[in-house]
Amino acid sequence: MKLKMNDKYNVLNFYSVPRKLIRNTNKHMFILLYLALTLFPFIWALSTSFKPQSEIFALPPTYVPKGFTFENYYRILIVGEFWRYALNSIFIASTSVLISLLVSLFVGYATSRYKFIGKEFIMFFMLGGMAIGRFANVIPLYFFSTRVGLFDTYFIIILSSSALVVPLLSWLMQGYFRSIPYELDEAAKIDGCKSWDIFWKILLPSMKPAIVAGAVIATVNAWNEFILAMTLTRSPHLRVLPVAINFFKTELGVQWGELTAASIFATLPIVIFVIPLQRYFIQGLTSGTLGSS
Amino acid sequence: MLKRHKRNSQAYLWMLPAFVIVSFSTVYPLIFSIDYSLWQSKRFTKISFNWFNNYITLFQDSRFWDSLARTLYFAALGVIITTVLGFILALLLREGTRTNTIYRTIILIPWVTNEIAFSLMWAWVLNPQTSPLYYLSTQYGLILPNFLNDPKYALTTLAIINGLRAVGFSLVMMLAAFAMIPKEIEQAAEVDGCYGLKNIWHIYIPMIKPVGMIVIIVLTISYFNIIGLVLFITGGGPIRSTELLSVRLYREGFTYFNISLASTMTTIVLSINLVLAWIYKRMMNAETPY
Amino acid sequence: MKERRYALIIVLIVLVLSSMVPVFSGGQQEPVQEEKEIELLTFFTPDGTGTRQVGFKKIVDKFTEETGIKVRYTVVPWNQVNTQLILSELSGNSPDISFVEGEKFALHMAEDTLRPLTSYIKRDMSSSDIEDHLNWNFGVHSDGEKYVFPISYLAMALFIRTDLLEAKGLSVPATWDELIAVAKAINTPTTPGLMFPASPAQATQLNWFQPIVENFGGKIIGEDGRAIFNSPGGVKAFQLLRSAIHDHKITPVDAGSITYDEVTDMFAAGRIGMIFEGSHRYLTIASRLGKDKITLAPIPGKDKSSPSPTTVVGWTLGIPRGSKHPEEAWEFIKYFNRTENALEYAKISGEIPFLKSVSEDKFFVEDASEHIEFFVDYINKHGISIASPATAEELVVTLAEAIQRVVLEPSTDIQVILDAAVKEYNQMVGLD
Repeated sequence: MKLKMNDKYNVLNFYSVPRKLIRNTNKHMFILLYLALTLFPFIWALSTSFKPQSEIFALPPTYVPKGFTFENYYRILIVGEFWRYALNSIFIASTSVLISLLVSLFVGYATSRYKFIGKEFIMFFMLGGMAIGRFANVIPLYFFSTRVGLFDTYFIIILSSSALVVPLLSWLMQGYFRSIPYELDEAAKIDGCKSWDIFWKILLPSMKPAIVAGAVIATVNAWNEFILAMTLTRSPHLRVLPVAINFFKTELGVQWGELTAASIFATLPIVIFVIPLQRYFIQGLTSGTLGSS
Repeated sequence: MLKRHKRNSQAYLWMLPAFVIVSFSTVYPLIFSIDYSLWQSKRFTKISFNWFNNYITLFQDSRFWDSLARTLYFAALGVIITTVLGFILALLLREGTRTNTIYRTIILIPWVTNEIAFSLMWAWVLNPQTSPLYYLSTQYGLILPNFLNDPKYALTTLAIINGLRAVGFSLVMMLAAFAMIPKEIEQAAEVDGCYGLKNIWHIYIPMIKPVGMIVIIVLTISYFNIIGLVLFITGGGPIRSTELLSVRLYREGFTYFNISLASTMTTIVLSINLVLAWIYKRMMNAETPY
Repeated sequence: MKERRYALIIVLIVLVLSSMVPVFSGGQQEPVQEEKEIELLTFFTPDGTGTRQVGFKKIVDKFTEETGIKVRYTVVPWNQVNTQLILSELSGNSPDISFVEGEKFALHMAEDTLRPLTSYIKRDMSSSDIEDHLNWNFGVHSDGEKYVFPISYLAMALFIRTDLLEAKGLSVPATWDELIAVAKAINTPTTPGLMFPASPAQATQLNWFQPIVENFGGKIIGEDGRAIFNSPGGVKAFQLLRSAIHDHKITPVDAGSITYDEVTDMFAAGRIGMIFEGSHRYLTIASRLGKDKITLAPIPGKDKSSPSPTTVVGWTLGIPRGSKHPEEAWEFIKYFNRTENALEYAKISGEIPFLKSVSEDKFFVEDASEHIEFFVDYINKHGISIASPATAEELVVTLAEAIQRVVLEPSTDIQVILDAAVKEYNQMVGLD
């Protein structure tokens, strides 16, 4: 049975307009305040990335660069070949996201829909893999990868960064799968669907927001993976953005112009990636689920 | 309602790929850490089997308890900030309007930014000698304290910076959770006369609780393992007031090569995290029927 | 519908796997033809634009041209060179030749990562070659073997803003009292007279603080390796830093949380009067501030006749135990140590040369690089080797934390702070 409240809903909305207006102003104030608090360093980084060396520590500080220049960007992108590191990052991140998202969805499905011996154990074992921390992970992984000949390959980076994000995603997917009413698959089961079909046809469409969230999280994690990438690879052709950015913290001091330009350049692909995905965060993809049983 | 599929063995097949991937990079480090934590070692060379003496020595060390207390404070404050702000922002931004899309994207930036650049930029902004922020505030006659120079403020400052950094993460999680609330439930609530806070309390919080709890578990674990931010901004100072377990662990393991001590600490941090996760999980299970 | 999904997944998995295959097989392919190539573990990038990188690359290219031996760079961040060398040695993954940080020499001796070079030296080097070295003992272990050869030296000095000094008609300070007087005279709210980093976020304090401790008659570590900077001399040195902030007000209290890099940046931007700084950063600072605005002076001392000594460290070249091409690696070290090559590197890099014949070259006596002349002179007269036990990293962090505590807790007795720090260090390294 569907709930049909639309007419009444509109009436209610009409009466709550002034209230909504106040709420909206408050909302914008709150968000802008929040942004001001958190974004100051980034605005400063943005401004620094367009400054010539002589202006970076000038007193009084210039908020809008006076000697506006693209030199820093030129130096990282053309001379420093950052586009190559960006391609590496994109390749590694996308591969590891695809792998980890898929296997985590399986886990979420299994743990929320099945009862089996050792479920808790496996989930906590996986959580342990995350809780052990990157730094405790990296030295043993170094020895391991050199022993089996995987050192300095894409494979080890993709696998180890997937392994660190799979526990996180698995737990998240478990939570999201749980928020999908069981009536859905019960009904499908009555219709004779196999679990494989239930997973793909019934549940995944309702999981769209969760998949998008998982993809964003896995991407950011893989994108910013630094310590594993730095320790487990050496070749310049395997270098990823965080490792390349770290080189601007040199023995002779921080190269601020390049560092800020590089870090801003490195956030761009993610931002571009995230914007179109957001349309999946709208409500209603799951609507109708209650009524279907 | 609570009936489950009976073909249990199938579940293992579903779990297998993830299990294999995680084992690949977890089993060896786990064995390595537990093994070394039972030995006395000089850098990588094992000297003598020590049973649990490393643990006993560590438990008798007040420096360990201090840093554990700091870590708990750091993680708790950070988790509260991240989750609460993420929840509020998700609540405000859950409709997919154009302004909201812009807001959401901007809010993600700190989380997406490279850790080294993020830490160094904050260190710059919080250094009164070079900070444009301090310069600006002095011009308006406002003298800000040096947050990183005072053992009283430094840890809280770092916890806030770190908490704010991950708001993007919890925002994404919560947005997805909100999007998965069936619209009918909300509408039904409005019909029943639930508005504003009441609405939040009765509808949203129960609905996103499973996801919220997992966000808390994940954040707790990752905040226990924060290193770069602290290492670059304060290096554990001033006067060790920001020396978290993870920071000491990094120093002992990665720069001093004191592998057995670092392994002992790893094992302890791991146990604490798992216990905390287990408690959260109990809390979650107690209130949801699934 | 169903088939399409299956197909999609299979295609994805195949794509992912196939994308790794070339990488996989590529990683295991050994070079087919017997081409001589040595792997160099370094933090210099081959395409780097810094003077040191450019200079080094030039020597490498010449070497390849003359000997036919290629040099493959394995570049890691500079503070990861030691870690990577030790890890690679432990896992049988060694480079053929590696940079070794001078301060970490004892660590590598304790870990036995490097090959002794004496047999090569006996075979290929004459006694005049050896005598030409400014400090042959740099890189000689207690077993009498030499393990590493320096690339250049790095020494500390007092960097002073010439223009500020001249504006007030002051002369270069030679004693601590003069330093305080000068700092007071040039001190303004936006330009502190003297600055030093006290944050343990970058533990580099030993380089400039050991000279001060030794000037006051103290020592950082004793013969047996124990920390002993809590001696009366040490206390005086720490007192100097504390009073600079709290009594003389020539250093802002912010120094307590400021890092080495931040101090360099501030000085280079013209926002500090005086700092203790290393020779390796001279050219970077000069390129921003202008050479005419920097005056180099020995670190002041108790009295005019004896300034503080300067710590001498540097990056070196060594051959790891697991090197697969030790002969070729040695060939490179030998090549780098030839006078004409060392001269060329020193000229381009602006670093302190390690050969007498190079430092006496007329290039360094001329105006062009008077900073080299200054440093060579300072090292010759007052050079000391930096305290670098195998646990050097523990030592610098302990020292950094002690300095920070002394600076930020002005009411606590210095002796108490130092006793605790020394005790903790000695316990940590197993000497107590």
